[in-house]
Amino acid sequence: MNKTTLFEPLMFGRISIFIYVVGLYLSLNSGSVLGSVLFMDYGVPVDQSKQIEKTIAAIFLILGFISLMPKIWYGIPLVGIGAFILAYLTQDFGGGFFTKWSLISHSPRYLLPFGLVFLTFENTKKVGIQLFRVGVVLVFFIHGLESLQSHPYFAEYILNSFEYVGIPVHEDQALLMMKIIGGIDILVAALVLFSPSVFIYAWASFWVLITFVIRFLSFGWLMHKEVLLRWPNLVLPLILLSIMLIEGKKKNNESVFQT
Amino acid sequence: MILSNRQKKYSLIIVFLLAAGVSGAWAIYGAEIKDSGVKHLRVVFTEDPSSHAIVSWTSFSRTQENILYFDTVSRDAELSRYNFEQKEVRSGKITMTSMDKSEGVPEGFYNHAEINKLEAGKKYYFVVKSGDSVSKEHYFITGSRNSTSSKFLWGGDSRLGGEKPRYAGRTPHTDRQNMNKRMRILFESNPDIIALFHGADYGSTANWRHLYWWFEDHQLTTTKDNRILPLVISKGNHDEAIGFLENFWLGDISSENVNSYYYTTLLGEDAVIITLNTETIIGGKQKEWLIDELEKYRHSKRWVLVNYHRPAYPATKDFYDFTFARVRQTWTPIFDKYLVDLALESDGHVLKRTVPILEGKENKDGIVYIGEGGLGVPQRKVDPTLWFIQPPGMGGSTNHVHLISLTTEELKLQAIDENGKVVDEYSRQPRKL
Ligand SMILES: [Fe+2]
Repeated sequence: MNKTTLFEPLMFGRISIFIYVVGLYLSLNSGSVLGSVLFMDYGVPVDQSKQIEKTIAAIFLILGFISLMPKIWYGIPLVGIGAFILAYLTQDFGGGFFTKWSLISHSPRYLLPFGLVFLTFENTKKVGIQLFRVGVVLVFFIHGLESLQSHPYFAEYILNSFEYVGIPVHEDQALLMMKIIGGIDILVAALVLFSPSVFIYAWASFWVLITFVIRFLSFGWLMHKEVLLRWPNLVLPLILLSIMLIEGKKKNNESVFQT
Repeated sequence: MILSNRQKKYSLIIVFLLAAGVSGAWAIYGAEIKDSGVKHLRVVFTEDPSSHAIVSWTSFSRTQENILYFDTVSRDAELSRYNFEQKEVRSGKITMTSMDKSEGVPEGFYNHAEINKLEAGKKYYFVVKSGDSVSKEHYFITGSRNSTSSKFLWGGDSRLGGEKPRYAGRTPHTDRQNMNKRMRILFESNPDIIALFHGADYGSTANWRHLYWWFEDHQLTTTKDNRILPLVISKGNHDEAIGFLENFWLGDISSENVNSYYYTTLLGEDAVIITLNTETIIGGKQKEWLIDELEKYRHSKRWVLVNYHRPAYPATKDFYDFTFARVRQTWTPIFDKYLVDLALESDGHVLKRTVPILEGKENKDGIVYIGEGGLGVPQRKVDPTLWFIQPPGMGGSTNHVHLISLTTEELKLQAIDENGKVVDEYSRQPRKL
């Protein structure tokens, strides 16, 4: 693969990091887990912890802009490190549904930047592809598990979006759908792990897109922050799909453990 | 480097002192709290405080026999003299995580004795027995069945609070203890208080290292003459762990399953408090159930209040965050339709009282949302620009508990801080429906 063919996914990846960073900026600015940890766990006065949050939000935004510049790559892993720390804090602080698994469910947020750096260089691009694959596997596996365990938000997305389109469903039906969806998600994770294909990446991308749409249908425009933060969930399978299509053959079908 | 004898001697002394210091500190830090017998006595009311209660306690070894002895007169803990006993006690080992173990809290066992067919407005004296250990005699008073007035305490968010170490949630959590002492004083001076309705987030988690200390501190609410302040339980976002279900068992309630933590509490003739659960699906069955309850009670009761953890009108956290918007979108249109009399909200760690709100706008006939949690949790600051806490509403930043009284003439509430100062007051007349 030469650099010109890889240019498109790389640029899409950089733009996507920027999109994610905008979500992060909005989330940190309006008060996030970081402020809560500083205030509740470390006793930092509330104004000061808000200030720190806003400062870090601004730093992320600058890193996001830097990530857009095609020739500079070193801002990208810093976004990854930040995303990893936030996932860790979310898991550690708790207080949300399934936050005990945040390091896994948030993995695309840090694997996108880390993977993209590897993807940038010819001799490491295979590692990048495998990191993206790991991200897709983890995010589908863990959301599948959450769905099987009746994640209340997922149920509400189904209840509300079906009501929105005029076909209201009962809670039991929503929970049954979630069992099926959860099963499919885990199957998708397994297929990406053992036998990735254009079809499975297309499905994965399509499905993430659906989850964005039902968020908006369920709770309206204010879900934009939630969707921006989850943008990397869509980007990983899309980039893998585009690379496969560009290459025209399945080059990355070895197990992630073989890299 | 060659040391002189004198230097060697001093070095030895220093090494010895350091070793002693380190091992001493280790011993203090790592010391496991030794508990035996029974403690953490509590009384939980659910749907009908006039006839039903759950008496719960912690024991510290596995015992075959766990029994609640009770009577309507004091028997001075002489077991044979109690007229009633409940031998069917739901007992089990409290789940311990590795962090619970490293925090040094002792292994415990939960015990829940459910009692039905109690007489309304009656003193019940009781002792609990696990194995050979017998508690001191305590008592509680059941709710009234036909009284037209009722009084209760309400507050949420009792995790941590106090100087460092904050994170562990161990001692000191002086703010929570001070609030509990304040509640005891209020309970002693207002003996007609039925219970403490807790707006949830008891500890940082519902794991044993946090709940153990919550139960320790809860004992501070017991009056000097051993009257227990009954609890009405709701569930918050920090109460997810299995320890919550193990330790706050609700027994037989009419909601679909005991883990759903939503139910209606009858207060005398004239009032109901509907406890909702923001930590499960809030649409679907819970929403249908809420509508059913409001259909049933709105016209038959003078006062209908709702109590739940995550606020619809957060006074400090992001108003547009999905966590709160979901409550606003799902429940407030129902509150509006049935014109509930007061909404009790927790979670934010501030003190607030909104202007009356109807359909998302200020309206003199609307619903006032109070609370946000101050039973010892570190206090944040309200966003002073928010429209819904402008006068006649209010916002502040102080630990507090609400004393709420409902009579035929008015609903009256006071927010009281840990020093006993009234930091907010509000009253209103019943709705003419
Ligand atoms: Fe909370």
